[in-house]
Amino acid sequence: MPFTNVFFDNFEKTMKEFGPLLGYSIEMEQKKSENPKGPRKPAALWMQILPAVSAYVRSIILNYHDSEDIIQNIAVIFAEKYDRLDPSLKVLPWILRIARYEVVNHFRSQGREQIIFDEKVLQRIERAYHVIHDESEGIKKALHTCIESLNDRPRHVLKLRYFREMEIRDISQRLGLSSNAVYIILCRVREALVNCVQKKTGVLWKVT
Amino acid sequence: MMDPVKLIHLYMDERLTPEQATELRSRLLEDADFARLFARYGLLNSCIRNEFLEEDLKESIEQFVVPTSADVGTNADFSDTDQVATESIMKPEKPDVDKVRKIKARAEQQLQAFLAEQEKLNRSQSSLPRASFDFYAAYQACATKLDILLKRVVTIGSRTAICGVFVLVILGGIHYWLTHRVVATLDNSSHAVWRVPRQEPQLRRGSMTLEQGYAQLTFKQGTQVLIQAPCTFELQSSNKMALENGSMTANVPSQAVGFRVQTPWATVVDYGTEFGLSTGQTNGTEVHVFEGNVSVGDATSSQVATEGQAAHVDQAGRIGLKSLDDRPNLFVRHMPKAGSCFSIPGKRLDLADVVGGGNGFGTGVQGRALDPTKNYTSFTFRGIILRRPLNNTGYRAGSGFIGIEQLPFIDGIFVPNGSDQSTTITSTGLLFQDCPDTHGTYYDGIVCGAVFDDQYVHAGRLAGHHYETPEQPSIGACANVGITFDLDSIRASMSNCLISRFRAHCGISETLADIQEEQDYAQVKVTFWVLVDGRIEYSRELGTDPFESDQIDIPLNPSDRFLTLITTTHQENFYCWSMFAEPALELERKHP
Repeated sequence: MPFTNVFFDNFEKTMKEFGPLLGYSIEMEQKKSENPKGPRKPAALWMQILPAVSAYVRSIILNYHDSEDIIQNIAVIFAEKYDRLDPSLKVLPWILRIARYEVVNHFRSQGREQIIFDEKVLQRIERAYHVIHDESEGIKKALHTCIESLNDRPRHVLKLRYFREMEIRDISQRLGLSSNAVYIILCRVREALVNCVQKKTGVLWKVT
Repeated sequence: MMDPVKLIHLYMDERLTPEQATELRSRLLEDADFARLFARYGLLNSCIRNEFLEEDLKESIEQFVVPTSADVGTNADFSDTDQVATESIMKPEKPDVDKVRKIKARAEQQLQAFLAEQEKLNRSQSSLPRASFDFYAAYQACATKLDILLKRVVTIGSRTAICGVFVLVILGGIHYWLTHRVVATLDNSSHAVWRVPRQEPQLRRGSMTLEQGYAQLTFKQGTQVLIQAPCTFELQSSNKMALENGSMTANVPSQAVGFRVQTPWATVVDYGTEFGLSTGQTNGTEVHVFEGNVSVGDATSSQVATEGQAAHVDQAGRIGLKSLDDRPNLFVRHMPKAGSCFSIPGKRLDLADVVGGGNGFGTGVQGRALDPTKNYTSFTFRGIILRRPLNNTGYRAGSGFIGIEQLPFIDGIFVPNGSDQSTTITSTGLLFQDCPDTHGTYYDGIVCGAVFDDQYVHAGRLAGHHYETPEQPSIGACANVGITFDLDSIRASMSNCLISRFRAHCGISETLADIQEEQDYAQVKVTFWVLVDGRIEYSRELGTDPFESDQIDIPLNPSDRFLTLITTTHQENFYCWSMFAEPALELERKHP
């Protein structure tokens, strides 16, 4: 079980049971962060929006180092400008718009023509992330269990691709397979995870 | 129309054909459901990465070492991967019936244990004598409540402490990962002295100062950077750095296009190329583009410098472009060969290399000469046949002081002559008041590498030592000639350094004795002069009977601006093969 989940589960249980004795309630804290006019804690808010921001950037910038640089830049901008943000504004649309600017700047600095991602397309993806943002916590939790249920071999391929950041070509050389075989394994693992997540969250992903 | 899921898989694994990319674009634009599916897969990918990162962080904390052995030994298992089916990807789930049965059994056990405990308690209470006020029962009840309260306090305390430790460890881990991830490696170095000594080749985010020598780094995205001391820089990410002051060259491969260097005066963004970059606290930023294109500017304006161009950004942010031909050898582009070298950035600057058009650290050209002749009203920087003296056309009369704008480290050159009453030795009009009468003629100019040509071309020799390679540099200065170096300009190019001394070995080349009869050279005498801001700091006449040479060592102050080397003779110039061997400015680190 991932380390952070152990911690957060314990924390939540403990605070539910004994929090009122200490003058603390989770519901209170949740209400505080939901109320746009109430005081907002930047670190807590950043942790809330980080999954959507990093997913947005990583889904468009496939290069690991570039995407991490951009996420870092966005974090810096968030920290610098958060205080000046109109409290009535929602944070997620604002930060996703900043993410879009950063992505566009990155493309511009590379000087390469973009076949897929122009401003209009980036806006559509941004809007899609607004819509599915509420699902992110559920997907995260479900995925944790689903990854645990993976067999060792597909899990290993997944780890090489997503953690060691290896290209398919490099994985295929390392494992002595064809690139196509590695691609097929990755597709199947991802589909298995998607099915598992759909089953656990009850949200249907497929489009016709 | 392609299956939407397959299209997304192909995109995520970077296997889209141009047609499929176009289809992906149009579906993202036109189909909101598809855009949501794309976003969900994006979220899935991001969460998968985070899961592995968390797992790795947990393992690191538990074991202090991240093992990679998980990758070992599993390769052979993939011999038949095409057969991997969906069913074999997930572990089989245990049937729910088993779970229910286990839970029931556990509950039953707990119920039995509870009943047994109650029974025992009842028995012990009934065996005690009864009284009107059941003191024991009251005591028992109090004790039980106190016990529960204490247990709760201990539980809350311990859980809070555990939570605190977890929070600290997690925050510490995240902070450590963010600030300590490796962004580059140190591949090679030469005479390198770091302000904070380095033990390992992995370089993480942060500021570094190279005080002496050279260091070659490779960023994780592939950019190779050669740093020349003195230099303070900051590694910011796998494709980004900041140069506070100093010089560097960068070779950027195609996968690292967009490599960015921030200086106090400008941002330099590379488009796949090789370029040199120098910045100081007072002289702005200079970028030389050797190949490809580079964007230079700031948030408000920028210009693109192309191959063969040099861009200069001043302190006000104004950008000027000019040709590289004006200053082709400002940057060291390759790591010097292993072994001893005379000039070491941050330690010793070679003035012979400066005469050869270089930056004082080996970029000059051996055999290049500065010619103080009247024939050139404006100075011409002549690349002559290497390893040959400038001319064999006989004596020529010198003109007045000739400034050399193309070489900022050199103020100018001149032919000294006391009979003119005054010899101007600097661009600011300083005079050489005690200059002897020299007839105002010279033979060769000021040459990078003292080579002489009589019967055969050869390198000069002093005290039995030959000076013939860049590692044994020398300035040929057949009397009567003078050269003035601009120390302020040299200082501006290395803002962290002080120029502490000028050192050289001077004399008339002993090779005269190998070539000429003694009676032809026995009477040759040349006076060597070193002036600082017009003051005579060194003066000595050296002859050839016997051959004499001398070591010059003059301390320099931060306020000294002009260093002038002069050779004079009152005789005919015949065989005045005078030279300054290993002419060096000794450097020291400026203490803050």
